[in-house]
Amino acid sequence: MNRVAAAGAVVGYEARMAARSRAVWIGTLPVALLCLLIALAQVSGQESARLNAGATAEAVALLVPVGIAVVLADRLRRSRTAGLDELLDTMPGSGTGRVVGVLGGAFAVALLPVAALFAVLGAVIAVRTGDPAATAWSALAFVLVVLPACAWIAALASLLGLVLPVTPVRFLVVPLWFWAVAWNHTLLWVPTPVGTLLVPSGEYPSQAWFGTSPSWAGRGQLDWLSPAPAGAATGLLNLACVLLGTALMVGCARLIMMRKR
Amino acid sequence: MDVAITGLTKTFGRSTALHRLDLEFGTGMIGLLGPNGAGKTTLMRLLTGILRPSSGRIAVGGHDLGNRSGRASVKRMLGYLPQHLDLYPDLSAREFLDYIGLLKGVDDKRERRARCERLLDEVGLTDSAKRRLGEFSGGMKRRVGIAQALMADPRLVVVDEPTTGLDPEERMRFRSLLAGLGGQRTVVLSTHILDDVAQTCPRVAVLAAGRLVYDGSTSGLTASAEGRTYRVDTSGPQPAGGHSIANAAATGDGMRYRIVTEQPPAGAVPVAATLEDGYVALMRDARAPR
Repeated sequence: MNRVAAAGAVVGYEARMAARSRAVWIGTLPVALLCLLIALAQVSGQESARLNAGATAEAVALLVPVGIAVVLADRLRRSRTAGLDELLDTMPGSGTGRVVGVLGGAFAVALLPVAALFAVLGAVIAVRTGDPAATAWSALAFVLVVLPACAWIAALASLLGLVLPVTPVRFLVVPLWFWAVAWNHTLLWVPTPVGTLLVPSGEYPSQAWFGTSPSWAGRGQLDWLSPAPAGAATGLLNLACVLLGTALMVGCARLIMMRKR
Repeated sequence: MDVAITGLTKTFGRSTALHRLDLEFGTGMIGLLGPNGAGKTTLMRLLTGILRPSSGRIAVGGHDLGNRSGRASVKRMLGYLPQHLDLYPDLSAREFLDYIGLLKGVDDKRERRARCERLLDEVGLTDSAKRRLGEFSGGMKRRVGIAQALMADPRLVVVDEPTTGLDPEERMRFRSLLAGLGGQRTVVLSTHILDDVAQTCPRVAVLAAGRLVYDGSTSGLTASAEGRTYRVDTSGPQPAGGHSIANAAATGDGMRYRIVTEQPPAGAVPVAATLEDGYVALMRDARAPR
């Protein structure tokens, strides 16, 4: 059995199914357009293309993941419908490959409008700043700031979608996302990742590679978990934490889906 | 493909679904019968590696389903149709079969496509191959279900209630398809529809309350009701006493009952037994106090 072919099949067909789902486009396109308007208002011809790319990515990373989460909350649940989970359990491929493939395929499609948004933003920044490298900075900002944020919330929404009914999860992920990235400890009495290395908002990478001024990074409740943003080191640490958190949530989802019966 | 089940027990909490089951079968079709809750679906799930035995052993082609490598080996030669199967509504029938083919390890695109087309033709869905599965009727989905079970040219085919929800014409098509499979493969057919077994399976196993109560030829099961099957025509109440009613049909001026009994009522006419009568007789014997 060719594992690569099997994983590719899952990604390819899940992407195809997501692309045919009206809900995916209804969930992502309006949010992407709204983000485009917000981000365009932030583009300044006075600042560098690099700074503009980072700042717009941070703005986009605040809202776009909400749309992604709402859209992807049902992805893993779909393959647990009557009989389909049993059928897929009798396939020779690994369960981990299947979970990653299901999420990866749908995630890739849901990110298409966001990728298009960054292509437009890159072009606009290039025109406003006169720097042709803006498109590259914009693409890098998409990869380092927006992509990890979207992956984190997509994993959380999919995991919750496995243990709770999908409709409430679609509402629940909105406050959860803002708890994770915006509602800092001065606003809430509960612990929050805001300001710590665990935050998936992209503040640390944005400061590290695009020179933006962080608003909360380094000011979390736990000092040892909230180092002051200090360039690539803290940027990489934050990315590692976010990706580890994503992997843990995907791992939990895999355990739930493939638990021994 | 030889399947050997030894001392198989499966429990769910305090409930025992299968109790120390011993069963062996090889190439050909075997029907699995039993009332609701007898353990048929549990046995199917154990045979496909979806469930793990609580105790006992299942070996398929010499591979022990109790360990990971054994399950992996069996999965490569298995085709399975679950009792209920909701298909992806956004894929077409052809795409779904192709997807299953890829998951099953049929990597060659040309071969996969050829199998898709052949199976779509065999289940009579060539004209609907491009339609989304969400638009399919229950019977059409069932046909896609059996086609996917055959995508990887499996040596062991496990089908759970495959003809449920099919119209008579579809059921006949299905029977022919299943009967054709048994020639080179091991096919396990679980069903409530005795006629399907009578038409396709030379061998039958019957479960009741998690225990094997019959394992033998289909004709042998039918024969177990010979000499105790009767027809009773009446315009009054149904025959009373310790009879098991195998069938009841309205006639112009009353009812015609088919009963299995050791002590026929007055006016009962002996008739040749069918598989249905044999099954009723077996269940009657299984319930009888010892």
